[in-house]
Amino acid sequence: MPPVISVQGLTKRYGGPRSRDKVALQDLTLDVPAGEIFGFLGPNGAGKTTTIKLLLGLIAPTAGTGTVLGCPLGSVEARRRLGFLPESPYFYEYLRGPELLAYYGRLCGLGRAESRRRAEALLRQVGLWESRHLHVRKYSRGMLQRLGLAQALINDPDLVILDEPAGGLDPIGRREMRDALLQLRDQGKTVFLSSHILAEVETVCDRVAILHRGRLVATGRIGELLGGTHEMELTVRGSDGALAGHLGRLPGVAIRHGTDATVVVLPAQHLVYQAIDAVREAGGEIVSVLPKRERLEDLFVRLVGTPGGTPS
Amino acid sequence: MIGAPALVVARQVLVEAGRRRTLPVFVFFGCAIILSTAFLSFFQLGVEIKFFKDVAMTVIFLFGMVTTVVLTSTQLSGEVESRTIYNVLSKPIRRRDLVVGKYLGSVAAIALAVAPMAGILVFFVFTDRGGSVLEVLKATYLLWLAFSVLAAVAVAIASFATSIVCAALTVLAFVVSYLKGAVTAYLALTVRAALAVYAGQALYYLLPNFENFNTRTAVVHDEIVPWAYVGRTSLYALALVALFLFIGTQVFEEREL
Repeated sequence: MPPVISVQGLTKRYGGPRSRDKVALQDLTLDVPAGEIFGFLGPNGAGKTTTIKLLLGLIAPTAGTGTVLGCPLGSVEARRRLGFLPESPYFYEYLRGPELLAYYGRLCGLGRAESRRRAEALLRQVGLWESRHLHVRKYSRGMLQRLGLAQALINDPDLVILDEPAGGLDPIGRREMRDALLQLRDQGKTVFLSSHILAEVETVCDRVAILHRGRLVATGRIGELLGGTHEMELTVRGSDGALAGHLGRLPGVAIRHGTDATVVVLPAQHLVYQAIDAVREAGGEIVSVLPKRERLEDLFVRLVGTPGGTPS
Repeated sequence: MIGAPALVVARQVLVEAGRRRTLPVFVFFGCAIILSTAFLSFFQLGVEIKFFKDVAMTVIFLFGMVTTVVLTSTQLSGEVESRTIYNVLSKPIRRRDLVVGKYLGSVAAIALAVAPMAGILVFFVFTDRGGSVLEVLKATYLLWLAFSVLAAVAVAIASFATSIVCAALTVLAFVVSYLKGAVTAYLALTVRAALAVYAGQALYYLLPNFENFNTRTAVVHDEIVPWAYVGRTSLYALALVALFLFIGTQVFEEREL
């Protein structure tokens, strides 16, 4: 199946030919497969929103080409089959939810009756039907975000591009958003998700791409990117002093004392048995033994670095 | 070719114009001034109907112009400033359809704003037998054409400017259009550089001549405006609207959002 989004050498510079250019995006080459949730990550200013604007044709690339749903970037044909939720979406405040969605439906070429029918179904789906008589200006931040998701789905798109969809949502709203994304994938739709919430991305995304200072620094399946380390993590209970004494003899071990338990990180799997023996000798109790898995946040920090932007 | 989405956008502009308070307030004050003039002039026998027609046409002109500037300047630019444009342009709509839709909705809203004021004027002209109702209708139609041209100028400016800059430049364009004859003559007399004189002449022909749409004096003095003049002026307005909308759509197509 051809990729839903495919860009080659996409570059965006701002500034005139004589001024010092600001490179917002540099030579991005990326394929987004169909039917997956694709996480698009990066710190502020990495070029995520610039990429989305290029995909939608809101800005023109300085160099590079690409297709969305097999059509040129920003073409009407591509936009006919995609939905977009901007970061912090804004709407016409004097309209009510059903009127707003019906308007967007009409812009998508739906008939009047079909637009109203879709608007009602989507408002029920995102839990805003009870607020249908309210003008949008009276909506809370979370309600606006849900309305934004509804408008992105008004044309039953094949591709949904979401820019920070969980912004402004409470924990229950975030969970509902996550369920909605998984539901979209189950329906065979492709989701392109730009987000800062790495735990959420790790939970729902099949693949990710990480941007840093306008350049792609990593892309692939989450499992492949995170990979396995050889480290093992033991959680043990017992006398801290005795545990430290016995475990400290093992080479390369790291010990972290918590309030309820002590976490022991071993540099290699073959040390597990020695560590278990050491815990027994110290009179401790083993709570768990797990391979230490890198989290997306660890990978992100490793690639992108500190808030200052220096990779660690 | 303009697509169906332009009409969807135009309808939305009308809904917005009706729900925001600015337009109804303008219409209310315009009607109030015309009505109060009608009742005041009722007690001033002799010159009342001419005075009333003069004031009413002036009020329609002023309120229509202000409505045009306020309404049209905030349409396209406001959509960009409030970032609602991202939701719109992610839908399968061409930018030129958005520009033309905003324009069509604006001129329809301006017509709806002018209609009640024109209705009061027609009513009193008819009941007081103060002249030809047809001539009043022709004059208000020509004024609406002037507003339509001004709206096209505003849309062209809004394709690259913010709301406030657009409103200021639209008013400036309107004023300079009125003064362009004097400016061109002044340049020809005082400036020796040929380029400046040519620039003045280019300005003269590019800017609309809003005086062509003003037949207030004819209405006040019960003169007849020939249909041929109405037709020619309509074609003139159409050409100007097409020119400025073409400029607006071309500029907006290239704009980075």
